[in-house]
Amino acid sequence: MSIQDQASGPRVKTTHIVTFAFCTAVMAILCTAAGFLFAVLPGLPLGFCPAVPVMVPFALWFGGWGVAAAYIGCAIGGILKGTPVIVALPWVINDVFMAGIPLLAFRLLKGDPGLNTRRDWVIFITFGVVVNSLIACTWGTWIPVYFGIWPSGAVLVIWTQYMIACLLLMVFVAPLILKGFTGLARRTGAYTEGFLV
Amino acid sequence: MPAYCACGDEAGSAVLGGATRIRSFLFYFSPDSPLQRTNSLTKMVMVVCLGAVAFMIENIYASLVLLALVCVGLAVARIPGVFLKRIVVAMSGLLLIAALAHAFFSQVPGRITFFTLPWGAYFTERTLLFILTFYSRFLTASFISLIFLCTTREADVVVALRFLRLPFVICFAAAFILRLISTLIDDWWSLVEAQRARGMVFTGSLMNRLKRLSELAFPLLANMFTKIGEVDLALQARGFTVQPVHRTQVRHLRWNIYDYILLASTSTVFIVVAVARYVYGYLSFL
Repeated sequence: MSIQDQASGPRVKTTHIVTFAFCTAVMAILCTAAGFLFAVLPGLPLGFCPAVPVMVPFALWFGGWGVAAAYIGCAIGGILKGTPVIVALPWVINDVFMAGIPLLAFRLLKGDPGLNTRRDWVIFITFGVVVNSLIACTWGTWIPVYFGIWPSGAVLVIWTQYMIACLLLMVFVAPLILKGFTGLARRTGAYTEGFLV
Repeated sequence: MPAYCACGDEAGSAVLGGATRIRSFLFYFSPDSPLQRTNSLTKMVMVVCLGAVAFMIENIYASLVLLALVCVGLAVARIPGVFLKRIVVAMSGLLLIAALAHAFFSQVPGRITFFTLPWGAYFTERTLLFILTFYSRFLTASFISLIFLCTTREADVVVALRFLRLPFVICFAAAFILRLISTLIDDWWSLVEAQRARGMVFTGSLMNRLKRLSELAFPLLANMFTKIGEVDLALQARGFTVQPVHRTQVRHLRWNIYDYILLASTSTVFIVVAVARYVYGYLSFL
């Protein structure tokens, strides 16, 4: 952080833009990798996207920048792996719910992304695992119905698959990332206490 | 081994087989490719219009005609077949699940019913037709995106965004993201090679392979944090600011006759198909 930045108090800085770009690129790569994972590892449930457990820590560390990175990164990743633009843009709104809901909960309830107390864990499990997955999976399974990718009769089965994959990833991977990297994220100038700065 | 040129306007180009080629999102394309003559904004409009058209058409014959036309476009743009294969491989999971979902959960009435399921779904000859139509529509839209990805440079996208009068910070972020994707992919492969050199094997059960992949994600994140600091410092050292200041541009969006032809034809197709589909009810499946 430059002396100029430190003196002028909290505002959008170059670090935020750089961090946003890095997070978006990581999201795009992980989202593209998901498509190839299905091809090389048959048997994976639909909704098994390695970007999912990473987007929540990004949102908790970098606020709205992390949420924007989740949307734009997954849209780019989806397009790169072959999803038509017209389908990808509305579909990946589920990632805004996935990352945005825990962000709102942590900021409003003053939770710590480092998951140091039992209260932090309760907030994380409730809003960062269950509530966000419920809403994101519901969105993620209904949008393809509109585009004829699967019929409405299949929604329940696909939703269950999506939900299980999301819950597994969120429960087993996201806490490891939060516990392991929150300290490092705090040391970057982009760590936000609010929604943007 | 391509010889890279990293100066001025030709940054990101390579000499392959005696001819200088330009690096797009996915590969090095020939500068005499017809789509190189159109600007990136025209191509963006084409992707959106034709992508929407692909999903508006539900009639199998019209959909196959559009797919054939897009394949002609791929050939004209000189896009290697390996990229089509890659797209199909990447989408295979979704396409397979879509086919299974239609087979076991749809209720498309037809003359011949092959089987009926306890939950009320049935499979008729028209279900099969519906799945084929879906594949045709989906692949058409995917291949249109592929044309864009294979014939557009990262810098062209930024020029188009600047033309749309978007703030410089957004254009800068877009350019940076697109450049970072290829940089981070290189980092990823370096990590994979480093772990292989340490004896890590990516074979075995599904869980084992996933565990190995997750072990690669953590160094990637750690590497990312280091790079954020370095890039931030480098930008600050060059006096970069997010505040709005007057900036000059080296590249500008150029319009020529090919752009007008492509814009006029894609928007006409879009309007004609939208009217036919939603006003007159043509091009529907049933």
